[in-house]
Amino acid sequence: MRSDGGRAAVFAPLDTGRRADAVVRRLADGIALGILAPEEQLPSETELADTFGVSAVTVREALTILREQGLVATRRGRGGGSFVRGDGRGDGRGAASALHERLRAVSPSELRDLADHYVAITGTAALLAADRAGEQDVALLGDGVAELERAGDAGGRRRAEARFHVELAAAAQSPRLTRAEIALQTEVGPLLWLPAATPATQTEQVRQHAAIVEAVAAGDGQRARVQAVAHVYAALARASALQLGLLGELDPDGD
Amino acid sequence: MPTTSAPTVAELADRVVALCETTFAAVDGLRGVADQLLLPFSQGAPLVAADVAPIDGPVRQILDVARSPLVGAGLVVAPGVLADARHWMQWWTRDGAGRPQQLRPELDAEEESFWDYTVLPWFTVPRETGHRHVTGPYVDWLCTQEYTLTFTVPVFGTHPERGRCHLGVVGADIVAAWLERRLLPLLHRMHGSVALVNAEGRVVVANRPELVTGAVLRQVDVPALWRQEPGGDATLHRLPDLPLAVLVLGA
Repeated sequence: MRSDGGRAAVFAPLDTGRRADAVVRRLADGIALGILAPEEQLPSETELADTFGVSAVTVREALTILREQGLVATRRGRGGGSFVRGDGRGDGRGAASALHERLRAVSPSELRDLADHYVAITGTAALLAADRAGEQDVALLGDGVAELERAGDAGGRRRAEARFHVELAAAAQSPRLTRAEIALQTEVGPLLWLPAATPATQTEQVRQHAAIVEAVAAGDGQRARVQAVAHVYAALARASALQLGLLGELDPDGD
Repeated sequence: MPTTSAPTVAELADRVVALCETTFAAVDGLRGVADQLLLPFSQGAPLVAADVAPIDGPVRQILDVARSPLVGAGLVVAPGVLADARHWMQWWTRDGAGRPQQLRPELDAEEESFWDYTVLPWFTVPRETGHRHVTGPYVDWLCTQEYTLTFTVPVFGTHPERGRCHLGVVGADIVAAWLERRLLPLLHRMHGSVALVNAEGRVVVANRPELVTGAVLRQVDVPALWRQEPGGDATLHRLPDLPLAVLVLGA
């Protein structure tokens, strides 16, 4: 039987909410990747509306969502506007408490599923990068390892982690895998990388990145994939341990 | 059915050269504007970022042409040229609706998200060689987010005290898919396995499914063939003044 409901859904007008979500995704991706820097002022609502080709109402709706997600802060008055929230700055809720909030908001199975999705992208990117990376790609991946080694705070470590994974997908010569990596950083960044973004785990993360780059440079796709998969699941293990502790403290009948 | 003979390597080479020259012609137009805007540098006068902003007009103009293959274009300035910005670019891309949008990357080296373009081949190769360059194909994740080829031309000036200086590059991006579409009808009718490759042996487009765009050829050492004198090996036909070659792998 033909379902007219399906057709209706396909041809339904795009509502403001979906367009606002698209704006949210773009800005959140930019923030997750560090393309939009902490404390950076976003263009005005009118400019954003113009840039994205949406109405000012849609932009306002998107900014409200970003505020609720703790990604931007809006200041009133002279010199006011919307600003990217810096890790550990903003209105007093530091990176640690923002992280705990995000980890409390997802269940262990949702966190594991995010890691599974992420492994599918990252593992394949590593496999293909070993076959297709050029000298320049390997050099950029090496720079990425050095960037993580240099990173001095949680935000820096998270950004270096995000960059490395995007460069890995770019080395795989796949725009789709690269865009998927960028899109996933918004979720993966706070949930998988922030728990791992401590000085104690930094050395371990650098070692894992170096192992991936070495396998890519050697053209060993299977080893690159195995290393990348282990890297993501090690981050999941850290996040899960932290999450179980947080969820264990919650009232079981609460929301 | 009309009987047409298979296109020759020379015909394919001519077609590639023509497509690349069209792109470089647009870039050369920008270089003329950049030379003018950067002229005070050669007269020893201080230059600021606002002085190079007028290149936006011509950049937007070449991007705003209907059915233009260009998806990005602009001027990227070398460090130490502008008094008020160590790193600077006036670069525009086309959005989904085809309208030019200015790219605003983080160019403050103090910031962690700083985008250091001075290590990327589209900037370094023209600077080192003094010649135009085609970078890619590569995933340009910061700009087009597509599989891209970047065409760049260096800009030089002569400072009264510092002598001959590299002032930056002007350039334009095309997506690999555009080149593929234009070359496949010709490639399809050619005999044997034929691929357009770059100097590291990466396939730009080819007429065999196993030679997929973006793959690096393993069965032939392209960088080694590249270093040989032109005509030394008949299988690699380097294109004049372009870092691209037609590789014939036999029937």
